[in-house]
Amino acid sequence: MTINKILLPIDGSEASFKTAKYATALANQINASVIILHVITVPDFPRYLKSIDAYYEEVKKEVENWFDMIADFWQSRNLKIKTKIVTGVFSVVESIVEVADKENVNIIVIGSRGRSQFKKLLLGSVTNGVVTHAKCPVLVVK
Amino acid sequence: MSKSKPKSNIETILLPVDGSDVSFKAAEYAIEIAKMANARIIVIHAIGIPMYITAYGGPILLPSYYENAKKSSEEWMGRIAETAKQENIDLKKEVIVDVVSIVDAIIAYAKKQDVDLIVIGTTGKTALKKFLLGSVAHGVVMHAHCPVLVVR
Repeated sequence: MTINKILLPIDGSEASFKTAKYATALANQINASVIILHVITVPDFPRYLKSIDAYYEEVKKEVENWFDMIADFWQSRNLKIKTKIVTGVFSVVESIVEVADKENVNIIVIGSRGRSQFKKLLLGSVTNGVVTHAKCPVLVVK
Repeated sequence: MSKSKPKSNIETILLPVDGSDVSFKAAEYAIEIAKMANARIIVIHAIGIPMYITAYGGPILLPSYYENAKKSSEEWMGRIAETAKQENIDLKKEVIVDVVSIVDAIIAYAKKQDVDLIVIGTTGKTALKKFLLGSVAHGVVMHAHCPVLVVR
């Protein structure tokens, strides 16, 4: 058994950047490659009168910024990193599990909480769903 | 002590096991990570107070119950230790008896030993397929002070 491919789903929260830092350092330590993933769901309400594609494009620009920020963590190291954005889905959990499956990753590294910083919630809903449904091991970072 | 290190530097891995198939799989992952990261492993088996001890009223003596449970754990804990030895990994075995909550025992031990990572199987011995995530794994993920790798 080898662990050489890590999936790192991020949501742009402070916590997910911390997780990214952890994941890239871990990848460095165990010599693995990383796929950074962000999932953009179908918006609950029409935010713009523009097309939905325009909405996705706008969010994508923001996400590219996050990827650039995370890039600082690994640029000094010799890591193999791939970035991926999935749009137009309804379930973030399902998307993450699917990508993990398709890309044949060995582990998923995810933060215990994402954007919802409700302190009493010890485990965020997305993380809870990923831990429950992923086919591969999941590393939950505090 | 050691100079400032990134948080993800894994030096000590805690591996709580219960003898189930999934816990052996968790052991495989722990050994693989320990090998790559040059870390040591602490295998821990927590034995709770048996539920039926009062229910059946029979004079089951706790010390002998724990003795038996310890003995049966020796065999499969030894198997994990053997694999680690082949990979030249520093491994320590530990059995804790008389615990009221397995989750509490694991997270308290993890904190006391200041481990960097806990590797645990999703479901243990109560292998009801409906329970995608066992209560022990769930509790450990929620309450541990350090990152937790959940293996299925």
